[in-house]
Amino acid sequence: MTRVYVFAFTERPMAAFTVGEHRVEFIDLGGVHAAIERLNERPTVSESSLRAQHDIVSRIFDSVDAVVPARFGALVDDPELRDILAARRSAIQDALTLVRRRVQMTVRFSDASESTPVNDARRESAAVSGTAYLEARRNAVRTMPLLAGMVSRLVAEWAVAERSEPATGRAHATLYHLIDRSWVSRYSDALSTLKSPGLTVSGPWPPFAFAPDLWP
Amino acid sequence: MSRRKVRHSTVPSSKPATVRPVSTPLPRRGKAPRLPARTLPPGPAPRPELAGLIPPPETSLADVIDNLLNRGVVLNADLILALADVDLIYIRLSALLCAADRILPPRR
Repeated sequence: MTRVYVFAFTERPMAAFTVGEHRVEFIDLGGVHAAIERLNERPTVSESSLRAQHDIVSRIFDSVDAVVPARFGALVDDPELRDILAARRSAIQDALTLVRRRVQMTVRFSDASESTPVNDARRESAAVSGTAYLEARRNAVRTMPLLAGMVSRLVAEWAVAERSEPATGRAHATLYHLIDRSWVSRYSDALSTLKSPGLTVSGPWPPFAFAPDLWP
Repeated sequence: MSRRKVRHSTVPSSKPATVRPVSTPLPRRGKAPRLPARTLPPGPAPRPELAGLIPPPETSLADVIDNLLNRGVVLNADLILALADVDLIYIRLSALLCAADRILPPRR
């Protein structure tokens, strides 16, 4: 049975297009459109498949005002997709409104030597359940570099939304900013004043980090 | 029997992101899918307005991985029950995206 592989959700459909071997079409889900490819099996995780999907989402992003990308591997049955939309339509529509004519910028901090814990580890002792204890333990080792605060303040004028991902283990701390498409230059100019070797800025990207959390 | 509950799509955005791809069938322990280790080809061309900030190609791949495996809308979830590091039960929860009481009509 053919299933649908979802690349993204949009407010309006595009004409079907082809990227490499991928034929991307849009299906109407009642006010929200899904960019899909009809597949039988989920693609394997490889650099080429990741880049192909990223290229497809970027092409959609370049052509429409609002796009909410899906994660890699979103292969579902058609009725399943409609059930998902029926259940979480408002969350997706809110996200489409948020990201309309906006882009994601990503700031990565590779130097965590000067960092601050996200939560106080002493809260562990106050945990009232095993889950709370483990949450406190995890938060105690998650850190955001001090530089992150400086970045946030520098771009606060242009960032419509910000999400942060503290460093955990070998994973770098990351800040994601949602900014208007016309503000990319100003954003980059502001961050160019920070000359830190541990700071990497990339973008503009489709708003992956500002897709809704479909779990309530 | 130990239970190992893997919740990919259930992690709220405020919690740390998992690295494992969300909707890819979960591998058995020790067999996580790995990207080929090799010299990377150049990534997609940077947009002109930000050419000065776009980092080297390997960072571009990092962004691709981060964007697609760690971010974006989750449409799938997976659950594994394991005993002594042996995965016994694998359940794909593709449509389970919110609590049942929010989807199902109320009982009379």
